[in-house]
Amino acid sequence: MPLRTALDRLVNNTVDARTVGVVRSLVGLAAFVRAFEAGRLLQQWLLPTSMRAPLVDGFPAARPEILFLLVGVWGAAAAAFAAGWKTRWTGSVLTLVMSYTLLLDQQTYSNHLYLLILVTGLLTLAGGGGLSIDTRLSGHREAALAWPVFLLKSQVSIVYFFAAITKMNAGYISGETLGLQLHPGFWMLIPEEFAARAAMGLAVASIVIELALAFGLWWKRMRLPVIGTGLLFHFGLVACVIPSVSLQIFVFTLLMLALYPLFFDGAQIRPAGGIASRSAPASR
Amino acid sequence: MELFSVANPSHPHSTLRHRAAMAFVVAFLAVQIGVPLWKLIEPRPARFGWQMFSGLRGLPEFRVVLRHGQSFDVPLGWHVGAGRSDVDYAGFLPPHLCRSYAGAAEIRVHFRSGTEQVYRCP
Repeated sequence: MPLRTALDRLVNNTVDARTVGVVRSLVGLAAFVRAFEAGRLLQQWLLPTSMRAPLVDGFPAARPEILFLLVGVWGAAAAAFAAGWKTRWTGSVLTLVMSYTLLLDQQTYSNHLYLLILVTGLLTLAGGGGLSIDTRLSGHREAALAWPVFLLKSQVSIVYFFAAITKMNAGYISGETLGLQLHPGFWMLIPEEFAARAAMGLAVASIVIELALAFGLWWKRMRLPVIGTGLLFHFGLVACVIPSVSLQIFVFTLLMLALYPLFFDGAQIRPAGGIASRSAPASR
Repeated sequence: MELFSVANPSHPHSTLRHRAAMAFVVAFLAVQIGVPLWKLIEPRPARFGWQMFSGLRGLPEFRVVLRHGQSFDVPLGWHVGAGRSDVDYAGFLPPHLCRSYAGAAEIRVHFRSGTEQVYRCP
């Protein structure tokens, strides 16, 4: 199929809003939890002894009270987004507030926050009234747009793919990099003489798993085993990582796992014929 | 005001909206693939490149030298909330240390590679 035709088909279609609604609720929850981490980081960043390292020269830094107000807005918008209340507005506000924090300083930047912003933005564009207060109030549930859902799935693959290929370096494969990120208690479970080999084995396994996740989620036959591996991989990371990054890893885990349902058949593309066919009774 | 409306092929603006959506899809994928590819040539970990846990640049150590010759080490944790491998501490922390410690003459930045860089306070 020529690219233009494929794109045309993609932007003219919709997907089941219920699956997108479940994803939106989980992503909203992840954003809500991440607001606490943002509050903690900003509190440290605002200390008079803390250095400033602008990510973007000239980027305006709000006064401390405004920054904490923004974190409050972040939490409230995340809760409303999760519940599906005024989803377009709360999603937009949430995306903007998180983006401001991301760009505020090199120390408030995080890859996981960047991903959360992209995912929240795309879910806001996808719309749809699955699992939402908006649908309860209006009595009608709209289907979600297919193209932002396609981009969300692509984003999952892009993140796993680049996370895997950038790990293909001597430092990581030797197990040294991963070893420093794992909880000391984890290493106490492994006999010392096997520790180096175990670290190397885990490092290589993580690359293979991330590559499998990057491609396997798109193939129906591979999907279930790949998802099982993904669950083990992510929960293993949450359990074994050093405490200073465990909350961020938990949010990343919640975020990535929340997107898996988009790969199932229930969320696949179906033709749309405009407003009339995009809207359906909420009870359906 | 309907700020966020639904795509509707029968609407006069729908063609424009569909073209905008197509352009967005192409641009989004181009940025999300192009930027991480470009970041592959930078030292790891680089921001916006999905390089989580791919490399740990050893964080540098800092020593403040006062005008009368005394010197002392400054742990990163005194001036940094959370140590990140992708933050340019060697570029941003020395000027901050000069401002923070009265009488500081220079800041010595010691890298894990064994090299040292000296920043003279203004």
